[in-house]
Amino acid sequence: MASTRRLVSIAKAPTGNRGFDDITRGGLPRGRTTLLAGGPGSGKTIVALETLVKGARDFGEPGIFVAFEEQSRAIRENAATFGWDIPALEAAGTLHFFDAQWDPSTISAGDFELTGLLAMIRAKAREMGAKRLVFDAIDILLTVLNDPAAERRELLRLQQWLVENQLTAIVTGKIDADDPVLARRNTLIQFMVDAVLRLEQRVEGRVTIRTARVLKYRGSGFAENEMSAVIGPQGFEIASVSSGDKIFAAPRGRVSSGVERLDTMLSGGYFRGASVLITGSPGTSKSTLSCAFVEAACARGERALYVSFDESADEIVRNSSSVGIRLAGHAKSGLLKLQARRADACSADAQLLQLQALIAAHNPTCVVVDPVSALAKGGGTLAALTVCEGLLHVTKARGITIVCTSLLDGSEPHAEASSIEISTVADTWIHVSYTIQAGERNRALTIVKSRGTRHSNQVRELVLSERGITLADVYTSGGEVLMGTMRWLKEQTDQSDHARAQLDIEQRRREIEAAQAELASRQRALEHEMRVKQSELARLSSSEVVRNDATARHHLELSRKRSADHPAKRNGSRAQRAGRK
Amino acid sequence: MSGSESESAGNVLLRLYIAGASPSSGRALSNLRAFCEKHFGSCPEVEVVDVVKDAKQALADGVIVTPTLVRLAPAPPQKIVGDLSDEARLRAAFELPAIDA
Repeated sequence: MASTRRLVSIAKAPTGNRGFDDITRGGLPRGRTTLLAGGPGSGKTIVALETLVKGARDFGEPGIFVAFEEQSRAIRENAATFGWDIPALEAAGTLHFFDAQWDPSTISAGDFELTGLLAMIRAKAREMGAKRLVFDAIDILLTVLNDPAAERRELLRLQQWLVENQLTAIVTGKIDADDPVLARRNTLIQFMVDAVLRLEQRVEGRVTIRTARVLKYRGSGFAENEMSAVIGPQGFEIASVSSGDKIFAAPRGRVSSGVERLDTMLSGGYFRGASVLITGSPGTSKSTLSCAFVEAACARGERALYVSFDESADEIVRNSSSVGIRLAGHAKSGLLKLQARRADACSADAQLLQLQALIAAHNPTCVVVDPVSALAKGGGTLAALTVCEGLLHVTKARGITIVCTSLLDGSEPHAEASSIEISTVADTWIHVSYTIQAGERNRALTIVKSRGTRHSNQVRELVLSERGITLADVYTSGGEVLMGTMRWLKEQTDQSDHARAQLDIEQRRREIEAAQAELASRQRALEHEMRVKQSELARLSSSEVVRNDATARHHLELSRKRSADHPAKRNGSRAQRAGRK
Repeated sequence: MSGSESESAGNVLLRLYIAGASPSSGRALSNLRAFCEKHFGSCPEVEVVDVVKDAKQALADGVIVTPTLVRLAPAPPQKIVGDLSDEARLRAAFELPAIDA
């Protein structure tokens, strides 16, 4: 089976750039030519060079870079910023630069051709055993020809040469569909190459957006979508979502929100690995709730990352300490990483890559992005939503519980469109709003949704004090949850009612106890009296027996003396005594 | 006509880069000879470099396309590319006055 597949699938040369290898499903067509098209500054040169650098360094494939536009000295300098050691590769003979910049003072007097250059390159390629080749900015060379017929002729010559030499080649060139000359040239070049990668750079809302896309790839499948990209410290990085097909095991444990009573409302806290969205108007303590979350994480000894687009690290520590949240110690111990970022510093995609790098470096279990809506500054809401999804993907994959805040005005979250519609992606959504009751503004917290969790549906008042953050007891009146001083008044009334009732009960109990005591003493007195009577009775009986015996003996004595016999009389007198008793 | 020329064949130093036996290379050489004889009366010494055989020399001189003619003297050096069929351009390259139409 594997051998059959090898017959139909074309051989590929990995670029060494993870993103490109991903979207091209393994790299460039080996021994063939790829066009890297894009406008000025779209990153063509960097990508082309990376392919040579990685080819020479990681895949044992030496390469030649023919620079038609930029001088090789400038290219070397740029490469150094990405950590590619060009001089070492040149010294090893695995990378070679041809400076082929057109001398602008050159006078053109008749037809010319590339035969000479190609001959030189071929000689060098044989000498160093080159497998890869880059023609950077072929458009510059073609413009010099200044003749459509010559362009066509030389392109065909180039194609033939490339085919003959079996080099894995990249030809870079500017593309502008609106320019008829470039469009014609583009059509011609696209015909002669086996794959076309297109890089784009545009500005949205003052922020640079970069994308990469595979336009065609003969004999191979590829990712068809436009991919977000950035030029970062590692070079051209594509925000590739190759892990998109991965199914994550849903974590089971719970993780505290940092607010005990909120945990209760959520049946024990957030799910570990879940994404939590906290929305609300400015000042509704979204950040405070987030701080409580990371404080609780650090208190459990877990690592946490707090990314803020609004506040500096010092401000976060200071502001949260005013409500009894202590972050300074955790920040110092290294458990907590507080990272202040500027939302408009770079595109949303660049932010994502940097957040990914932060997460990889700090390895937290709990992450806060405050506010995630700031990402929309870097290229609009669509980009921000994509990036949010990407971020949640990353955290899900790592089992990280993430809390994102988002600015959202109004008290009814469903009625408002969340600025970046992340609410549909989030597992748990908490909304904090101001409610105005009796001329007061108070913070009301609602759990809008919480997947897989029984959760309270009650609107609760969020109370901040120097002792911390909590939810107030629920006091309802006329179907409304009372908040602020109304709640306080109700609390006071309830408390005094309670105290009064308590007093009443106490008094009644004392009365009953007193009555009980009285009854008990009476009972004791009666019992005593009873015992006295009994003993009296017992004494009485015994003296009567003595007396009766004496009487009986007396009668007996008399009878004997009188010789009379009257035993019945004695019995009769005894019956008479019993009746008297 | 040739009496008005500011240059003479003696102080001109030329190097012509060609690519093997390609047609344009052959044309360049014959066009150059004809031009020199016409304007300087004689052909100056022309060093011919075949880039296919001597790629390193061509590289060192920054030659990208063929044919390329380099006028080494009089200074400053001047590069002229093409098969040298464009006489007007060639006159300009040798700093000869343009021929009035």
